[in-house]
Amino acid sequence: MQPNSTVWPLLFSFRGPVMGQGFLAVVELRGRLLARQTEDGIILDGVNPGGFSCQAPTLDLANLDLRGTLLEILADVAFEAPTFDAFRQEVTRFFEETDAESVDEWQAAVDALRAARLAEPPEPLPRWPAELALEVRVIEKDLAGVAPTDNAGRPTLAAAA
Amino acid sequence: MLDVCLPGYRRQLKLHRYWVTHSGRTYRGLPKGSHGSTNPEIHVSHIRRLAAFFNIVACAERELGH
Repeated sequence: MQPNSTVWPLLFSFRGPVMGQGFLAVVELRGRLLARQTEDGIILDGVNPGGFSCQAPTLDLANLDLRGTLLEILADVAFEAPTFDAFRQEVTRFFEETDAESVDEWQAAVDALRAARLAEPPEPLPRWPAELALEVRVIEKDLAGVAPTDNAGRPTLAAAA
Repeated sequence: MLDVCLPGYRRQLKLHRYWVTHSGRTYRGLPKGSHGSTNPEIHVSHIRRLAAFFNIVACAERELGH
């Protein structure tokens, strides 16, 4: 079931608004992904958060799918959360849930990239330190405090090295 | 496959995605379309990630014949 693929370690940042049951929030994430090159394109597997996967013909389109996937999952979390505090707790749980094998695979890919045993990613990406702290922030907003910058743009992708 | 590899799991349809829960952990990324989807590529990539998330890759490979 494992695809025959090259795997790159990525970091990403995401910021997006979520409307919940009587609350408005902005979620900011800085997480980890494994980008797999397959015959059919790129798969982005979540590491933190670990509970999702995206697929598209190119890395740029996979990034667009990542944005939509995160917004859908966060909307589902909001659907289940009766309060902002419950939403924040569940988003944090979503972000932290992963599996040890994927974490190990991500670190091995970082080591391979640093040792030049791994080709550069298929599309040019900035380099961020692999040790950059993971981060999940859930910020409650009121209507007077929202701004156009709170809208969800594409996540920023970077190679972890 | 999940009945064999992840006995006792719970699948719930939310607004956009299926959630699969087992042993207090939840995979929240399964699109509606991939459950019974006719698109095998989407199906396989999501199922592969779900299997890794729950550490059932070997069982899933046996069950799916890969």
